[in-house]
Amino acid sequence: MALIDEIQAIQNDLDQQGVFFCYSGYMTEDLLLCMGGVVRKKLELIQTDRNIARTIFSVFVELSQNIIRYSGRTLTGPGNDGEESLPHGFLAIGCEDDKYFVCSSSLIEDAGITRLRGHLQHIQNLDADALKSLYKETLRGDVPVGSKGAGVGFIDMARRANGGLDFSFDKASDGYSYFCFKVMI
Amino acid sequence: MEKIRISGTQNSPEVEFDFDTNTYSLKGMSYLEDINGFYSPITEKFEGHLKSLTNDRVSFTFEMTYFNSSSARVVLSFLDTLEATAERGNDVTIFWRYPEDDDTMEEHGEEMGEDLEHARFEMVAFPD
Repeated sequence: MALIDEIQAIQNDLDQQGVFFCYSGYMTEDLLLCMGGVVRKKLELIQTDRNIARTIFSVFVELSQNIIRYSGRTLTGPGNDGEESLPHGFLAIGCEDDKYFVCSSSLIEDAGITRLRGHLQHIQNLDADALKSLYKETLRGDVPVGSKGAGVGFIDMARRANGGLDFSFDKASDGYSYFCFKVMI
Repeated sequence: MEKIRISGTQNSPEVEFDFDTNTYSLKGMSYLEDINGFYSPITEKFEGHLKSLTNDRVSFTFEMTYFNSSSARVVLSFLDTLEATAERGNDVTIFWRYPEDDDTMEEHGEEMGEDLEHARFEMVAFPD
């Protein structure tokens, strides 16, 4: 296959799915800052409604920080500050049927799936008022088991996802699964 | 007590805490990686000082344009401290300033403010 065909095949795939921003690889907070800036600028230039643009940015930050904190695929080695690791994941933002979407994919340990799936299934079925109560209750309570943040990230995203959310868990290698998550805005 | 003054960055807020005049403000964005590392020294000093107040007047201004879910817990802890200070008889006013077209920050303000019984909570929309 000619080089142009090879590369354009990837680009065409993304275009067809409405993706206008995507990243696959190692993630850091510095990279998140830069990517966040690009995403905001892009949404500003195409004159996206400002509240929608804020929501897209907010979901993008939450999903990026989830990858940075929880990705089961990391490259670990001796860095300048001792042993350091780089978490790996995938993020995309696009537009389909006049709705924006933000999605992510990363590896997670099988051991964490039951709890996460239960949490997501629970919030997926709650209405706006119930989500609000759960958000406040969680924020006021102790940090939930397994969380390195406030434990309200998914609840917050569910509240902002006026087009709904979708997720899946699929077996990858030994002890790990792919966790895919998509928010429609 | 010495003032706390920290300039804002792309992912951390501008902090201006004046313990002599009891005027405090947090402005800008908050989605930094090490939330505790950034806020712990600030909240520690703040809580310690507010506990010592009696019959004082306190003003706290939030002017956030974005905070992530981890930062929401910190915002709430500031409000809890302010509410407790008001409950002990101090005159506490919280200003929640938000860009007038920002539905998310307006909603956050309404929700954060609705549980306060002793501290005054004022929503202030400003032109963006």
